[in-house]
Amino acid sequence: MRASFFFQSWLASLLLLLFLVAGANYLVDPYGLFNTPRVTGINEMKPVAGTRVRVVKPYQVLQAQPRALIVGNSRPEMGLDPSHPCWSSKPVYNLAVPGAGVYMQARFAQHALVATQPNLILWGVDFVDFLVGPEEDGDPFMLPLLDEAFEQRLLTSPQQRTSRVYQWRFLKDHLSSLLSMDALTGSVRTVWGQGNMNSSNRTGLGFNPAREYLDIIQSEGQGVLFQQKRKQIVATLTRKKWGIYHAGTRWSREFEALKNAIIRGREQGVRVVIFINPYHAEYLQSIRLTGKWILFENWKREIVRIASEQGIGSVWDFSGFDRYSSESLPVEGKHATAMKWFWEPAHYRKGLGDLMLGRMLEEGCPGGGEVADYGFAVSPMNIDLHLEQGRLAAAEYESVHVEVVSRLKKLVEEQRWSNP
Amino acid sequence: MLFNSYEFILAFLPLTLAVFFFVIYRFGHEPAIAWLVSASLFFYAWWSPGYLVLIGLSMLVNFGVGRLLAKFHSQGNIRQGKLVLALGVMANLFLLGYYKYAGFIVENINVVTDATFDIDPIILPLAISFFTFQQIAYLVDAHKGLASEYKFSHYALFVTFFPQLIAGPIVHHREMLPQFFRERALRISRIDVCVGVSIFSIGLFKKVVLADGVAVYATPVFDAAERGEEITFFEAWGGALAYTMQLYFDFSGYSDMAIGAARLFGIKLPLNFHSPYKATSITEFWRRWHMTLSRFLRDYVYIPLGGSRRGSFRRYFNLMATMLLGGLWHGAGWTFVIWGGLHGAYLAVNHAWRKIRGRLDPSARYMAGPLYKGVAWGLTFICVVIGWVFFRASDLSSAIVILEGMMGANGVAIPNAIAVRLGPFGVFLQDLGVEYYLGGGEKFVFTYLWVFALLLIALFMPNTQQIMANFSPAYNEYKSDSSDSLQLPDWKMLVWAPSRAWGSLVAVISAFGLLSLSAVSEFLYFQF
Repeated sequence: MRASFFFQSWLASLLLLLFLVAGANYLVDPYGLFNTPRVTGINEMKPVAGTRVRVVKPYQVLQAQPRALIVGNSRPEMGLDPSHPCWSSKPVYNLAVPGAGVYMQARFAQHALVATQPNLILWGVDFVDFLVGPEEDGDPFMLPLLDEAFEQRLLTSPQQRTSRVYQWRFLKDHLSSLLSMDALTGSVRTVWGQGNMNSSNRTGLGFNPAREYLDIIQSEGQGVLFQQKRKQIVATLTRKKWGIYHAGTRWSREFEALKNAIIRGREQGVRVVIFINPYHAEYLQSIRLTGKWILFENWKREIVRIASEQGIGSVWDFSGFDRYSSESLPVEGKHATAMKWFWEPAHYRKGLGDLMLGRMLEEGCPGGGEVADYGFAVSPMNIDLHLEQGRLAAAEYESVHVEVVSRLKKLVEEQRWSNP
Repeated sequence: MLFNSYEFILAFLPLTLAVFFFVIYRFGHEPAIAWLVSASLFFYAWWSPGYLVLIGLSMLVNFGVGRLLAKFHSQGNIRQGKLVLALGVMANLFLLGYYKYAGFIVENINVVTDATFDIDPIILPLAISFFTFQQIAYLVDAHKGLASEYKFSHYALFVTFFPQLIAGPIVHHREMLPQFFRERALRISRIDVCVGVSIFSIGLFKKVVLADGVAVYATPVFDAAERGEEITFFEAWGGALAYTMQLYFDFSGYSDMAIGAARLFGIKLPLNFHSPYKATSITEFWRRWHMTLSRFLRDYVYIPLGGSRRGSFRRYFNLMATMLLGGLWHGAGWTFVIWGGLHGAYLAVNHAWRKIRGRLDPSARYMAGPLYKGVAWGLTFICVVIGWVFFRASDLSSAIVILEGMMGANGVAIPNAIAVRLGPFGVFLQDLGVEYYLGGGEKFVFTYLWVFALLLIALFMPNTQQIMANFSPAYNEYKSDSSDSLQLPDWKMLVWAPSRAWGSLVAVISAFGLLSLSAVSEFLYFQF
């Protein structure tokens, strides 16, 4: 009977194929979900892991059982290295999530604290993440819905109740990372992309080396990265009549999320350190030229107030005009040269992150690492002075970098014109 | 339940099949039919159990009317038959009209009269367009004495048989029911299972690998148009072509899956697609695209209107009316009306051209060569693509935004990342007025790679029916004149046989399909 030849061959081949695919995906582990050993030339780099960060990190952080955590958005994810020598207790896991708002960052931290025992959290906060539009209402009970996909991957609800869907989601995510076309093409791209040292990557500790920027810099020049980001930043800042509180209150969901996360950390005996990410001077200038500088200062005041109220001491502020943030762009046409401290106005490089870690991890690096004067530890006592110094530094930058400032001014005008 | 879901493929389908054959062996025919109807209703209820009542009532009424019509026919009572038929058809159209068009009608009344009537949004019951048309056809057939059904369970099977329930093929009673009662019917046939598995796998592959694969390059362009963004030349064409490929592989994949699933039960469904993009005229396109709908519109709209029997003006009018209705059938919106009207006009022009051509070149000496055919194909294809822009766009203004882009009204731009790699040629392009934009290089390249690859498949690969030709895959065959379409390379090796080698090859296709299930997406035709 020929039909049974077909059927047997079909069934056997199908099962064999699925088994082989699952095996290959497990061994290559394109997203870093299975913690399969990384072998040079086969799966050391993870070029496609960046597409699954929100899926993988909740599981990966539990596997890593870190003694310290980095929390935040894409800036600390690609700036702060968990392998830096100044960490006094390791392993360290970089739980920062690209594009995550403060609430999501807090929820990821909460999840990690349920099943790991870190003694330190470094939390990078970002001005733009705290902006509140005039139309957003301030109903404190309007929590984000639990059926958002990322919530399903967290061990508990915001109210610390054990999740009922976590196990199911865990199974689904692991199965689909074994038996899916995406995972298979991911595996192929992983093996294929090993030769490229500048491919996108995520380390097993959640760090994003972001070396894919180097490829762009080599082919199109760093100016292109700045040009693109500049527009985005100005567009974001001018899109709405931004505030930092919900209308008519002194409250925002973002500040509340931060505060609750600090409280929860303290309850578990974790030291929480808050720092404000560095921005390139062009970013800071965009804040000034779009009329958001006062808002930026008020935001810093609120962050410092919350930190001091919750008893975690001063806040590290790296977001000033200084010799790092004022780094100038490579000359046009000289494509291959990359800047030392920044990828583009919004993202700093690991080199700068190392200096920050040197300052913040004093117990591991007494004396502040390489530079003793980077950043500023802000408390309610010295904030007025600090902000005043910031304004002076800004004015000085403007007087020296006239061309940069006028170019940004033009961009802001254009944006206002198209988006009144 | 979606055909492209784990629950359908791994649970519902094998379980329904197994129980079906078990019931036949153990309890016989009628209980097996009852099982199939129950399973089909469960399949339907998976989405919206509430609408079970609706489909149930619709079937009861139509079954009753059908009985009445059959009685009048056998009594030779034509006048009463006509009256009952008219009432029956109207009842069906009313149901469809209420659920599908009430909002649209009210909205347009408001626009025209400045009134402010308000009705709550009505959720379109799944498959209503399909089961309504299928039952209207049944009533007409019953009136003509072509179909009669005495058992409600059989009638219910005709309407609800799950492979064709949601989005066709639109079947005739006389095509389906006899199959369940023929000599060797309802006995498990190994060869049918092999053929069914193969066709289903090919369909699944088309849907989840090809259609869903290219969809990501179509959707953002149409979304951007909806937001009113300016779309440049290559973006607009990329989006329109990607959607052209997506729709074809989505719907023809779905139809293959329907045909394959039915074949597991030993049932052959009618063909719905026959490589429509190979057509070298719009008339031929419609003989190959959504064939069961074209057939329905021809038999139950175009011909009753008089078809081509009342002179050429009436013929063009009838074509236009039929296509406008066909457009409106797809959805209550002006974009669908325009799409239908556009195709009506295409068809009229096509018919007129055939007449002129016959006079210009009576021996078909000049207008039959490969060059003529190539131009004819290109024109047909571009006309179809332009039609799809209206079909896909969420409103008229976004359709126009895309078409403006396709005509170059918003300039021509390529990603900077590509421009810098073109070297001096890039500079040359810039001199021609081509602009560069930042980002989007990978998207640009992949859009056109996908479109090109899928176009090659659509144009030069044999279709499912041709691959399965030796095992009569569908209820009917499609044959056309060789001048009506691009001709295939000779793909002798791609003729299916129940061999070990084909078993392994189909396994590869099935595996790709199964592995792509994790990203669930609906079929485009479920919204109609």
